[in-house]
Amino acid sequence: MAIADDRGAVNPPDELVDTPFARPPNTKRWIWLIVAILLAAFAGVGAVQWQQLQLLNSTVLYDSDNIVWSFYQVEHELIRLQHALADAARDPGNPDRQALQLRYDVFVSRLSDVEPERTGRHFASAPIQTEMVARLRAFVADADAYLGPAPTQALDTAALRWLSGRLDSMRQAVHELALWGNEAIGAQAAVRNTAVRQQNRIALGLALFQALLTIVFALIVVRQLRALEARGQALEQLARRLHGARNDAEAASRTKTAFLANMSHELRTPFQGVLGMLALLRHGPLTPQQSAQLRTATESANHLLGLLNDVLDASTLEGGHLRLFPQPTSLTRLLDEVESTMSISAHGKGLELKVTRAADVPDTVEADAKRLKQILFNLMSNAVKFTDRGSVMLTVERGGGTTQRPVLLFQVSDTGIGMDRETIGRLFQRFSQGDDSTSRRFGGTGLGLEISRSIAQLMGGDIDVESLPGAGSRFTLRVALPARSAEVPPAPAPVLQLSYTPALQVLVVDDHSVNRDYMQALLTHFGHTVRLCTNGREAIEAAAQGAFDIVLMDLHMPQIDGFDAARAIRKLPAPAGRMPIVALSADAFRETREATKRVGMNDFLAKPVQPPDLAECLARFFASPTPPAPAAPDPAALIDPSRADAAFAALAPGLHAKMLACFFDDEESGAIALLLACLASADQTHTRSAAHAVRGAASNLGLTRLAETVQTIESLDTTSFAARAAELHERVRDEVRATHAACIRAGWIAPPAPHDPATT
Amino acid sequence: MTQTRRTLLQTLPAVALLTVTPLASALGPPSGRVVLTIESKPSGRKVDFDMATLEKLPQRSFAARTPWYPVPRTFTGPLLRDVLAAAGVSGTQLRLIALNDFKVGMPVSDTEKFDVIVARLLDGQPMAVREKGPLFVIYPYDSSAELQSELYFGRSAWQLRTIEVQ
Repeated sequence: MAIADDRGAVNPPDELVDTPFARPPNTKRWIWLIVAILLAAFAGVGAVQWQQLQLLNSTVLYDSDNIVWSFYQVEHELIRLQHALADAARDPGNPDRQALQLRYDVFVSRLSDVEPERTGRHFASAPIQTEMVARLRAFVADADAYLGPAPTQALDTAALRWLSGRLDSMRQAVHELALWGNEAIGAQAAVRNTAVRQQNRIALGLALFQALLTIVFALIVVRQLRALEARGQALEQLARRLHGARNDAEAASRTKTAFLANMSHELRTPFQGVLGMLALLRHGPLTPQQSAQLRTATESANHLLGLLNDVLDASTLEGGHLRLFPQPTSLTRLLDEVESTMSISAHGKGLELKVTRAADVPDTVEADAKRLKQILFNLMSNAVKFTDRGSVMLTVERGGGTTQRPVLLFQVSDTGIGMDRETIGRLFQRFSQGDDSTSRRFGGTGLGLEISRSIAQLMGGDIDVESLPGAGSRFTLRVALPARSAEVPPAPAPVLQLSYTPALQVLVVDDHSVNRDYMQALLTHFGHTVRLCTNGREAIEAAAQGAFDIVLMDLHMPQIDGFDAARAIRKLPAPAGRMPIVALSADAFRETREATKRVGMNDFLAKPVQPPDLAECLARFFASPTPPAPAAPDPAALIDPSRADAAFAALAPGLHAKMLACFFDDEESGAIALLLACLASADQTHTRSAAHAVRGAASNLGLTRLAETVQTIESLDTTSFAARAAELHERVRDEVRATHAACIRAGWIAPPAPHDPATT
Repeated sequence: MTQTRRTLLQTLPAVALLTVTPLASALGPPSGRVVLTIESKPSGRKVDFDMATLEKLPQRSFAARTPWYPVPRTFTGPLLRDVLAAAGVSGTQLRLIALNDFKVGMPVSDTEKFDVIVARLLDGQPMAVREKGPLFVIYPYDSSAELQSELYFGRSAWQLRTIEVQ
C-alpha cells in the first residue's frame, strides 16, 4: 500500500533545494583579513603613542628647567651684579663684600645653563651664543681675580668701576642673547608641536581606521549571527514541515487503511446479496448454458468475497487490531478438520492429500485454533492451487523447544511448479504473487501469505519456504506452542441452537433492493411471510396498519432512518408498538448497538446477515419448545450444530456456507456424484475412496447423518457391499437431499428458489 | 650602632607626627655660617641651620639623572623631613626660597611620600654657590617614573636658603 500522495506531502519541501545553508566560501577569509588589519592598526596606534610618550619624556627630562628662563636669569643676574658693583663703586667706604660675593657667585652659577653644551640638545647653537658665552666666561676669568674662590687682587673702587663698566658694556648683547634664546626655543617648540600634531593626526587616522574596521567587523558578526539565526529558523521550519508531512502521510495511510477496511466490509453486504440471488437463480428453470453461466458467476462472486475477506484481514493486521485468543486446542481434531476440508479441492484436482503428525507432537496445545487453521488452509490451498499432479502433504513435527513449550513445525509440501530464488524473495511481500503470469493464471489478492506470515509472527513464530522451480515447494510454519494436558475442555456452547420457529409475519425495511430481495428469499424459505418496505416512512405506516410479528430494520436510510422509524413504531399502540424490532447494520460498533437499544430496538444483526444468525435471532423471540411434526428425517440427526459451529469458527465468514453450497452443488459432478456413480456401478474400490472424501467433508461440515452413512459404506465387506449397493445408492441420494434441506432450514446456506409462488 | 638607634628613636616619631619638639634648639644654636633658615609662618619662629648641624642629621645618598647635568650625579644630604623635624615645625605647605630670590611651593606630603633630601654634597664634594650650591633640594628621580616630571623638577630648588612652613 504505497502512499503516493497527490498533494506532494511526502515530497521534500522547496526549502531543501535552495536554502542558504551553504556558507559563503570567502566569508572566513574576509574575517581573517579584517582581524589582521585590525591587529596592524592596533600596532600602528601603539607605535605612534609609544613615540609620543618618548617625545613627552624627553621634553620633560630636558626641558623642565625652562631654557628661556635661564637666558633671562643670566641677563637679570648680570644687571643685579652690575648694579651692586656700581653701588659699591659709588660708596667705596663701606663695600658689602659678602653681598657682592653672593651676587657674583649667583651670576656665575647661571652661566652654565646657557652654554652651548647645555642647550645643544634642543637647538643648534648660533655664533651669537658661542661668542656671548665666551665673552661672559672671559669676564668671569677676569673677575675671579677679585671675587673668585681664590682672589689675587684687592677689590678697590677702580676694580669695581672696571668690572661694572665691563658688565654694562655687555648688557645690550646679553639682552640680545636672551631674545635670541627665546626665539630659538620658540622655533624648537614649533617644530616639536608640529611633530606632535602630525603624530596626533596619524594616531587619529589610525583610530578612525580602527573604529571603521571595528564597525565592519561588528557588521560581519551581526550578519553571521543573523544568518545563523535564519539557518536555525529554516531548519526548525523544515523540521516542522517534515513532521507535518510525516503526520499527513501517516494520517493518509491510516485513512486509506480505514477506508479499505470499511469498503471491504461494505462490499461484503451487496456481495452476500449477489451470492444469495445466484443461489436462488440456480434452482430455477435454466437451460444448460444458463446453468454454466450461473456457475461461473457464482465462482467469480465467491472468489471476490474471498479477496475481500483477505483485504479486511490485512487491514486489521496493519491497524494492529488483530487479537489472538489462544485456548487449549486438540491438534488431532484440528488437523482432521483441515484434512477433510482440503480433501474436497485436492481430490477434485486428482491430488493425493496426506496429513501426518509425528508421535512426539503433543495432542493438545494452547493456540488460537481459528487463526492456526487459517494459516494451514492458506498454505494448503496455495499448495493445491499450484500443483497439477502428485500430492500435497501436511506433516507436523517437533522442532526443538522444551517439553512445556515445544517448537512445532507444520510443513506443507507439494509436487507443484515450485519457485526460483527471485520469486521466493518476493513471496511474502504484499500483492506479490510469484510473477505476473502466475497471478493471471491463478488469481488471488496476493495477501494470503502476508496475512499468514503476519499471524504467524503474532503467534511468535514465522513461515519459511524452500522451493526449486519444477520441484515443488515446502512451506514451514515454525511456532512454539505451550503443551497442555490431553483433556480438552468441551467445545464452547454452540451459538446455533436448532429450534423451530412458527411461521411469522415479518416486516423488512431496507432501502437497498438487493438486501430486500435477499432477506425476502431467506425468510420465505424459513417459512415466514414477508412484507418489504424501502424506507422508514413506509415502515411506520405498514406497522400501524398491518399485524406483524417482528420488524427487521436497516439503520441507514434516506428521509427517516432506522432509529427514527423505531422510535415512531414504539409510540404506536400495542401490539404494533410492542413487537420486536431488530436492527440490521454493517456498522458493528458498540456505540451503534447501544444507540439501537436506546431507541427501543430489541436486537442487532450484523450485515451481511448470515442465515444461521437470522434463524437464531428469530428463534430467540419466537422459538417454540415443541417442534412441529417432522415432515422430513430428524434434522437434529442429519446435522450436528456443535460440529458445524467449529467449522464456522475455523472458517472466514461465509466460507462455511460457500463450502456447504459447493458440497451440495457437487451432487452432479463432484465427490457426491462420484460416490453415487460408484455405488450405482457397485465398484467397491472406487466407492471406498470416493466415500472417504465425502465422509471427511461431511463430518467436518457438521453433516453427521451423511457422514455416518458414508462411513458405513466404507467399512462394508465385499459381500455386504455387493448386496447393499443399490440400497445404499438410494439412501445416500435421499440423505443428501434431506441434509441439504436441513441446512437450508437451519439457515446455514441460502435457500433455493422459493417454491410457493404466492409469497413472491 | 648606638648612634643610629638613638637617631632613629629621636627621628621616627618626629617624622610620623612632625612634633613640635625643637630638636634644633636642642642641638644648640649654629656655631658656623647659617646656610638654611626654617621659618614657621604662623608663629614667625625661625630656626637656623649651619652646615655642621645638617651634617649631623642622618645622611642619605643616591645617584640620579637630572635635567641640570648631562650624566647621572650622586647627591648626599639629610632627608628634608628630618630637617623639618629637627627644626620642630609643622605645617602642610612649604615654600622654598633660593639665594637669587627664586621661590617655589612644595606640599609637606612630598617629604613623607618621597625620600626628598637637602643635598649638600655633589659626587661627595660640597657645592659652591656657582655650582648651584650650597644646598640643593633633590628628589630620588630615578626611583619612580612619576618623579621624572616638570612638577618635581620645578620643586627642586637649588641654592636653597630658606624654607617657609605654613
